[in-house]
Amino acid sequence: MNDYKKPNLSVTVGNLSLKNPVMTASGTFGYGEEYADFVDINKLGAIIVKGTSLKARCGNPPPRIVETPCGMLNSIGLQNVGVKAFIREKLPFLRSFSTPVMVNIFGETIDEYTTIASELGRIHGISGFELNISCPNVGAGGIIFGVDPASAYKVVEAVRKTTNLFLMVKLSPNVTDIVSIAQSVKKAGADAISLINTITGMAIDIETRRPKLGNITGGLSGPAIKPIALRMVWEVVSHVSIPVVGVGGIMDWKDALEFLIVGARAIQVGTANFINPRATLDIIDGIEKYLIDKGIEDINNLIGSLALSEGSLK
Amino acid sequence: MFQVETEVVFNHQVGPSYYKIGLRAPEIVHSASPGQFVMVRVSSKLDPLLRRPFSIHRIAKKDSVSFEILYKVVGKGTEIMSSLRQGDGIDVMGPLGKGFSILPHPKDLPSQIIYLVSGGMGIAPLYALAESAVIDGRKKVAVFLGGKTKEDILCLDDLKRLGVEIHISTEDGSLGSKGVVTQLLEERLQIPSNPEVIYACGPIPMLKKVSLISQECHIPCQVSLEAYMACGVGACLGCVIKKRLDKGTETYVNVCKEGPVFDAHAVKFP
Repeated sequence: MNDYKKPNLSVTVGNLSLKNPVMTASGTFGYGEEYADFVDINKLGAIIVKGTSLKARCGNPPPRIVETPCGMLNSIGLQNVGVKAFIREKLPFLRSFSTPVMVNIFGETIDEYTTIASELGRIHGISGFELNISCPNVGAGGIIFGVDPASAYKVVEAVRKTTNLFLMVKLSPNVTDIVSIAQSVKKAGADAISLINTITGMAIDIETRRPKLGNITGGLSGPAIKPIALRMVWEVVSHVSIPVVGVGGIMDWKDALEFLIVGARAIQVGTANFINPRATLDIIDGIEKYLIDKGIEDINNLIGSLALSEGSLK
Repeated sequence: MFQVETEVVFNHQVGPSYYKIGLRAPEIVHSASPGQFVMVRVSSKLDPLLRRPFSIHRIAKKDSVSFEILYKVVGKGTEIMSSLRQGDGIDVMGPLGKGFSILPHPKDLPSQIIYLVSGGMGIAPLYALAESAVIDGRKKVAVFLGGKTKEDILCLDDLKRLGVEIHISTEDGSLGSKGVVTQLLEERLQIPSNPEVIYACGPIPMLKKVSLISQECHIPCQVSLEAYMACGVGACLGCVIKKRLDKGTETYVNVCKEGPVFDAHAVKFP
């Protein structure tokens, strides 16, 4: 390795500088402390913590998890400690690392979104927000804002007025036209877009004829959804000028590279954390090795280098 | 907590669909206690995707480096697991969760007796507890084994070797007394002098009943619970059960992190 010059892995997403493009997806990495025995958090590009609401939420009735071929359905229902307990109990640990911390925020109303953003905006140690307008597992709020361009615009605009911090909006794949939502979110002042959240799904126990999830439906994640995520990232980067962070079924460095080549400025690792707690670090190492092998000095030369016609590969 | 590539020491069939696997993992063995569990990645393929949680069945003596899992083949994951051979590598995370607590032996007092109530696979974590309670905790142990048929009564030879009191019941009467294991427990509790603690693991209706019985007799009771789980470390919040809090309130808690062993009287059983 000493014979090679280490390639540059650092990227910028809006005004956010990351040492590498690998983030943890919200809801799959807890508040970091859960995985501290397995992962050196300082090595991550960014950490996105569990969806946080104004008040604590107890979540949906179990069972909340069911495995499906190459995937899993979940219906957690945004169980979380609430913004105050997050600041008091969870943030101090996260502050001890150099890795940027982004908080995924969720509200049932626009007011709730802006209140959380302004509370967290005053706190040291938070680099930005991921606005969750795409959770499929809650009754009110969330996805309601994410499936219609006008509603998405309103909530993003309101939060934008509240905070100057980096603002990324996580989009739902459960829509007819992802591009129109993305354009709307951009117009409302978002710095970046992350996609995709889970795809709504269902599973039935044929013996009892009951749904396998307590919430009846849930969100599908894991390798099964990667082709859909990749297609949606490609559609959005092709039509919308703000940075896109790709997420959905990324299990290893090869999956991550697909998203980067398509044009994602960074990626998030979600379900893979459950299967391999070191997935994020393995992905960072794998990307670096790929760049060395291909003689690419800077990851930014790879991002968006999708070769669409013969001979266009540089 | 460790994530280690363990080596399969053995993988034997011990019943119609029951297996016992020995895994070499000194890091896990040295820090594990009875009632804790591990998350096993049965193959590096993407289907089945998730790790599988298994109770630690036996933690080898201090000089050893391996632990055992007792498992039943119930689906894709355990089927793959049953095909593993000696020398194969397998990715394991552990030890995870909170195990059983054994009360310290009071000075100058005779050994206290504890009851272990198992339904079918419930013996998986309870055997580790029995071994530790007899050897390190200087407890007397009475084990109550229940199953549908005699084929579901596991670890009998091991328990006999340990020299513990054994009660058996099967639903079809093919071994021990005919009926359910909680009947045996109730009969034994007719004898004055209660156990120090009742420990139980098995199907939910059984645990519910054991909890009720222990509550009526004012005996502390610890239960080991099972749940669908994705991460095993408290991140995914997928494996919750309802727990009673003070003042009549309830909350969801993670089986993986706050459990899998709980004070039975604080669990709100479904």
